[in-house]
Amino acid sequence: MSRHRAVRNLDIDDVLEEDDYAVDYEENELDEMDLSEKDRVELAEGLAHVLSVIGHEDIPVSDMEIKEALWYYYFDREETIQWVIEKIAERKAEEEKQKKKAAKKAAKDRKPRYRRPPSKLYPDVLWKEQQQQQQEKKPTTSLAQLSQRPRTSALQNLANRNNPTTTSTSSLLGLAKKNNNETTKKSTTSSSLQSLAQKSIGQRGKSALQNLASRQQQQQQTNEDNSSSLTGLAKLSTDNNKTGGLTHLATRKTTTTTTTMKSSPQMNKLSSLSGLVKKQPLKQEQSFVQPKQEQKLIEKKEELQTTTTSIQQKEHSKQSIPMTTTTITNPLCASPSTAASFLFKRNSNQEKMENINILFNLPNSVGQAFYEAMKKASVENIHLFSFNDPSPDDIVLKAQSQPTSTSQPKKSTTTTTTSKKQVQEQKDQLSQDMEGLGLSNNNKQPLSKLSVTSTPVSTPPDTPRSSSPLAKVPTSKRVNVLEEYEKRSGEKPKLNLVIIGHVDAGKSTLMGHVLYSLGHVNDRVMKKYERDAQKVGKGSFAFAWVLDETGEERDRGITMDIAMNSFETNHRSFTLLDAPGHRDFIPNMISGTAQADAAILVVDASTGGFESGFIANGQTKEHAILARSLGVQQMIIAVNKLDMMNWDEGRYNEIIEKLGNFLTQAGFRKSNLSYIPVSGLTGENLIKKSELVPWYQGPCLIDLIDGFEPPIRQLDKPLRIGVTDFFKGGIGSSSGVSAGGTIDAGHVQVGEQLMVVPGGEMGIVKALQVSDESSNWGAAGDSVLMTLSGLDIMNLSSGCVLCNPLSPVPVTSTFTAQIVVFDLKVPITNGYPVVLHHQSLDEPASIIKLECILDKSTGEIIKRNPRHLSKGMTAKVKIQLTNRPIPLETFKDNKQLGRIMLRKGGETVAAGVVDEILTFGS
Amino acid sequence: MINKTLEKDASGHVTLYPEELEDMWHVYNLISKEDQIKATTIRRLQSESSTGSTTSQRTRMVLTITVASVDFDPQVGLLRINGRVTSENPYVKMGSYHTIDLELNRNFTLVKPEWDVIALERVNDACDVTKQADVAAIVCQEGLANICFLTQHMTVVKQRIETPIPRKRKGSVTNHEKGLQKFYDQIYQAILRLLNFDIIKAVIIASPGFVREQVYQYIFDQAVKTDNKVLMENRSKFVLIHSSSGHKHALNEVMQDPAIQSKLADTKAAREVQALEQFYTMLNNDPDRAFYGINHVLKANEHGAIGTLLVTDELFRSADIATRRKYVDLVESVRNMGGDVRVFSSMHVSGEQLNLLSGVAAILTYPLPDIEMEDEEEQEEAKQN
Repeated sequence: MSRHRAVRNLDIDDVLEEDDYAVDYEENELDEMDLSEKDRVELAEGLAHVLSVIGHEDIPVSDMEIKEALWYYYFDREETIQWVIEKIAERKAEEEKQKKKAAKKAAKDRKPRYRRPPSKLYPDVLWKEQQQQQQEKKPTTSLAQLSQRPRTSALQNLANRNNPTTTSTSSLLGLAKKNNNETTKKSTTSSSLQSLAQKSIGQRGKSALQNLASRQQQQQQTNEDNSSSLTGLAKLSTDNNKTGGLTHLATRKTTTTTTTMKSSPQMNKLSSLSGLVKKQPLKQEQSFVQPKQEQKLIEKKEELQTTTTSIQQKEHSKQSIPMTTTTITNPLCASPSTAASFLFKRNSNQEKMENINILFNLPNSVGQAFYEAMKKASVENIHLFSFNDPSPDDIVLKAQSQPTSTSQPKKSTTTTTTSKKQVQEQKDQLSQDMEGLGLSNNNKQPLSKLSVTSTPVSTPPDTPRSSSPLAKVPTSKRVNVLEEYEKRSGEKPKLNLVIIGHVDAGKSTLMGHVLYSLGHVNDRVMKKYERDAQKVGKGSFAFAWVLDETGEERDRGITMDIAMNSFETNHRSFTLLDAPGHRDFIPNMISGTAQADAAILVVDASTGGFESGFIANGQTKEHAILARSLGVQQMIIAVNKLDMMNWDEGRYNEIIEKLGNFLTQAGFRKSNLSYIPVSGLTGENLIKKSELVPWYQGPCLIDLIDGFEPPIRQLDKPLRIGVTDFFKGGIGSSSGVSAGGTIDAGHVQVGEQLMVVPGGEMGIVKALQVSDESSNWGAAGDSVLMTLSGLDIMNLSSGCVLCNPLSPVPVTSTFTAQIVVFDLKVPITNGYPVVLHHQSLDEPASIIKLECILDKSTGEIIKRNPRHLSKGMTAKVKIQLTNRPIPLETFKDNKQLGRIMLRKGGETVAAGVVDEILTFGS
Repeated sequence: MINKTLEKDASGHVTLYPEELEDMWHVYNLISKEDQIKATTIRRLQSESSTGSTTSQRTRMVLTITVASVDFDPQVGLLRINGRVTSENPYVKMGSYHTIDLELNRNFTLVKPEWDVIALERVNDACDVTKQADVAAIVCQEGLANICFLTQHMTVVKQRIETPIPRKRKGSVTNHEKGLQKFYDQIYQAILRLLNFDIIKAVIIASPGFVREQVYQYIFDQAVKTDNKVLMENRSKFVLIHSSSGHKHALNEVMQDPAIQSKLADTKAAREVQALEQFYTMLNNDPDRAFYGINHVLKANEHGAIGTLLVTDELFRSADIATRRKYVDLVESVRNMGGDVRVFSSMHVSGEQLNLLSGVAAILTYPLPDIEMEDEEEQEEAKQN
């Protein structure tokens, strides 16, 4: 064994060890025993602060959790508050879910099902409850005690909930907020589920259960989408008017009646499945620590869960019926969810109320208090808040928050494993946080954030992978990229923006002008450009020169290669990619667009200008299709050069109508497209609204750009950087080799070892720049420039991929892909030679076999072994690289690296995604 | 060709004298398994002296071997033929293996048990001096250039140049421009080294964008600087043509360019490209009149419907006599029915493409929609069985 190998092996051991530590660490954190006195004080203070900001009563989040958050954010109170708010949203959703479950069980069998947990719990709870009732605000003193029993939160929450409602302290705003959170929960479960499912796929041992869950989730995605739009509406209305309880309720009612009735059984299923998914990785992880002991327990739990799931499903379908009745009889009342209606019923005949008590098996005193409080609350609610009362819902939610988690340990007979169970619960909770963060997603929180915040907790299995390349970095110097990323995305999310359009549509001029207006180009330089441009008789090209920097580009007056630049708007930070419009430079345009998240399509509005770009092989069309095929979903259409048309509204409307039809056909969603009349040359409507265009009501270009939604980044996947550019010499005239590109997935930091694929050579990151500013780390979505040492320039090639040495990108020369055939003159047959574009790589390839034609909408096979493919068909084909193998991943594994474009004779003939990689290696 | 003797049973021998690279390609296509070849060759002989020490010695001799396998290296035009020795020789035993390297400008005799139409055509073709046309083509894009030779039957990539060119970066374009200069220089050096303007009739520079103009400009700037008379004299031979990429199969596009068609008029390469284009157009417009794959084409032939048959020469190189026979019969039968037969060279880009398309395709004179149906039925039957 070579020395090198030996070192690598050592690394793995190290990593495994580290993993153990990580688990221990988490345990310790919970015990709080290892915290220093100072930390404890800090924690207490932090908690007090958070509570005072959030409002004491409102929190369904236990103090313990807040403390954890504090610890996690390292006493950053602002962050914690942020987190708690998210948490509340998520918790409510969760409670609702769990309450349903609990209520059902109660209804089903009157007999107490669960044995009581250690009774020690109750004094705590009772005490807490009393404290709350007295409105005592001394969380600091109670901290230690509370923290010892995180599970008491369920009961605490109950108390929490009851108090505010009985004392009518809950304001409209509060209610609105809760509602809001509830509604959003529904719409976002799907997305959070997705991230969960993805995560679980990432783990090694995939269980059938998980697969099932993810599949299920995909099927139901469509349902979710429907409801999300509705709930989104509701949410908006609540956000806007505080006092608009009525309107809100009205909308809310419609949404709940329509969506809950139809899709809530599924939703329920979903949520329970999500529970399973969540548990799975955690269990694996735990069994890793204590495999044998835990095994049985886990199995039991699993059983329990599955049974509850099925019960739940059955029950739920029954429940949706009573729910309809309530909505009909009480049309103005909120009567929000099945759960709420369920509660109403129970309340009206008090006898049944006890079921809940039985379920909880509370000692009499507590039970009594709880029961009374509950009764009071619900009665009052019915009388006082009948119009704006989502709260009956919430009360119960709070009351029964997390019955599953409490009941689980109860049921298990082993007492020795309690502490471990707590760990698991803790983790479980954290993964629920993840779901909660998924919720915040729709609350205009940056999408990217949620996936990140969850990762540090939920993906310890990733640690061995990502830390091993860091073996050479001392532990103290390592950066927790995920944490850093989170901090940064708290500031401004980063997006990559590509400017596309037909040649001479004014792309570079437009963006040059924007950059100038934003102050990224100083006056002196601009004056110089103007002078020089005038000198060569191209006065109007001055702004374009900001981006077109090579002599040739300036001489010819066209952009030839992607120009990169960066700028910031109020809420976003952008990497600008100015693509060439000329058809011969489409390979460059593809390489740029492959890195982009959003696009601006510049259209020439002048007479004949629009038409030339829009005819059969005009680049307006081709670029738009390419952008869509490369994964760009959001687009602004800038109708340029309207100054030459005297700002003719008719012309503008004609253009957007034609384009609109075409773009929706091409697969863009109408809601993701926005149109704006601009002039790149005179600068109208760029950074402030122009008076010249009175008929245009919308915001100016920069505001539209500011409104782009940042996409979800694949942070937890192994590192992938598609190299678009490389050259000798490092950043700041140091030695080495520099490579630039966009991080497609994962993250990188200085000192990390990277592998170049193809070739398999290793290099170490010496220096790093993110959007032209030096940094210690970079994460998915960033456009980076790195200096690598230990590599020769010969090892790099255009289109190579830098990746994590522990999970390199497969290199292949034959693969199957699913393609959509575009407009073409000659049909595609076996042996059809194409140029394969993949990221910034273009390689000759042949379609060696047409496997089958697929139905566009259903994906069913229409015809096997077709003789040829013509325009508009969707098909599965086998593609072989002619010259050499290239790094490629399936679309499933990596969206960016799984996309391919096929071109021939200067036209794009097909676009597709990689289905399966057939051969590995060269 | 030096001499040709054919018997009535179609057996016989031909003595050939290959003069250029193209000829080697013909020879490669002529020789098939079980043929006999007689040529001068060098064999290393080992002899053991009485004391037990061995000496080896290279001896030149004429050997006849029965062909077992043939290798062709298009880059240098070398043909290696491996087989068993069939002629007695004082040094070499019968039946021992020997590899003959056929070289340019050296006679050899090829004995075939059966000379079929294709083979004879090939011999005639090869000996027709008037059909020679040598064109050099430089297909390039930024950072990639393929320098190819186009002859009647071959497209040979002489050199592939791939240089990483740094992208333009904000504020710094020097790297980019340096990279470009280096790239152009490599092309220039390759031209000097590879192109022999005595033979070459035209030099095509094809590229997307402005690369071709840049290259052209660079070449002649350098020629002026270094006072390169040969280049200056041949300036008129350079043709600039648009292509969509710098990859080799962009040559197909080049062939279709009207500017080059006039220069290459009636060269085999150009004709092949046209025929293939025709096939594709037909496939698009009237799929019942264009078929590919041996089974479909054979069926179409049964109906006597084949107007143009496209077939690659690779099929005739098949080691299996029966397969070879099948294709030869097909060609003959199409010819007899008045059809046109185009034998594509698999060394051309179009031939490569046809090869991947099963190697045989046909444009029919009238539509035959049933063929596909029949085929499907058969498949179903096969499945049932």
